[in-house]
Amino acid sequence: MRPAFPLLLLFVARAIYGDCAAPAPQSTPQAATTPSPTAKKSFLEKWQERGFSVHQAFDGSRAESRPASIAYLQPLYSADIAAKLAEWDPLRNCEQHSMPIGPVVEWHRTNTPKKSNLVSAKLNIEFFQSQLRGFLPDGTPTAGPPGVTQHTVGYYATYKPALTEDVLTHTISADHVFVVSPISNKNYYPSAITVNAEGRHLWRYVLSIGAEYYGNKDLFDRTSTEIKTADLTFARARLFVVGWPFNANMEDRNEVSADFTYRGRVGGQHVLPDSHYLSVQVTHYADKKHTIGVGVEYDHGRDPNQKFQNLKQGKVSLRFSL
Amino acid sequence: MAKHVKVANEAPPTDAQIHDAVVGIIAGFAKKFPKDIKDLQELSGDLRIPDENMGFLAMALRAYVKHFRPDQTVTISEIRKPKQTVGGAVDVVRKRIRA
Repeated sequence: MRPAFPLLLLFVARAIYGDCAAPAPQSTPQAATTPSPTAKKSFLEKWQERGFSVHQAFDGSRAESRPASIAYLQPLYSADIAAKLAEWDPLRNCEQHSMPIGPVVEWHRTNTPKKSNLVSAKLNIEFFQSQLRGFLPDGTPTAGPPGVTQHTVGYYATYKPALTEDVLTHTISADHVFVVSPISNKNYYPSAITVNAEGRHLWRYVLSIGAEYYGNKDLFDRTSTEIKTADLTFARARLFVVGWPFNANMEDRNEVSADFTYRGRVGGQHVLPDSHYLSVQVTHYADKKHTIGVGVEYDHGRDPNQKFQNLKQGKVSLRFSL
Repeated sequence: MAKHVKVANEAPPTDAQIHDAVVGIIAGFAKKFPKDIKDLQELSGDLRIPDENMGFLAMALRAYVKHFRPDQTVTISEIRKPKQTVGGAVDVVRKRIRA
């Protein structure tokens, strides 16, 4: 199952031979400018401009928007850390689409209920389609860039081929994840933060559908027995909902979220049932930029990042973001 | 190949016009009124624009730049980088239009 490859190659070809090529540099008459102070950039800032970032995972789930996490579990621990090293965009000159591509390394470890220690190297390929229309808190559309057709809903797709090493068994698996989501800025629409008339954030939801292929994967089967080198293909659907209660200061410091993914087996070995993975989190951030937070989390179901273990666990975690 | 290649035929905007246009575009993605958007606010940390929507914001700023300078662009990683501020985004756009 590698349905995304032809599609992505089509877009790459379009970028190279299509209508997105940048014209030759031209000179433009200069308007009156105010020189801005050019602060010296740190090493980290330079890498961040090239796309470096650290999150909990780059797996097509809501973990992508969460800070990396090290969690304590009576008295064992788990770690979920992912770093995207850089980004290159072959469609950077297109106005209606873009496709940043970046290498990612990830580490996922847990000690309960069974030990799991996975290190991954993957390619994070994103695809953005359409110019999105912006909206003010009162629902008025904002003026967009001149001469560009805007849409209320755009589309966001990700394709992530990965090689994952199981550090405990020294086996390497090949994973492919392809996900598509509708994106909007309008209240009540997918991915839009729904706000009240003052602009206070209330809630947001994200819908996505996609497919996953796991090849040569070590996993825990329906009887929680560890089996090796399984090949599996799933169709998946996901709903993520997040709300910000007690948000009088409009800093979104209190966050309640639920991330539900359903996986239906569509190919490969019959070693896993159709399954769900639900993660409910309550987090309080210590600062308004959400760089450090403390959260409680309850996970229920089979998590691919933990070898499809059937989890039922609560944990308290410290969250940090670079 | 050249059907979408545009040629700038407008006088470049002033710095104040660039600032207002970029803040206006950001306001629509942050779901805030432009008067509530400050230069030092971070797109992610303060305005809390979701990651996916941030990619579309970069494309909107790219389209604004290309209206005046079709040979220039704005990448998603420049806008989505951690701690990127409203002022930083204005600066990226201004530099590309003035390049």
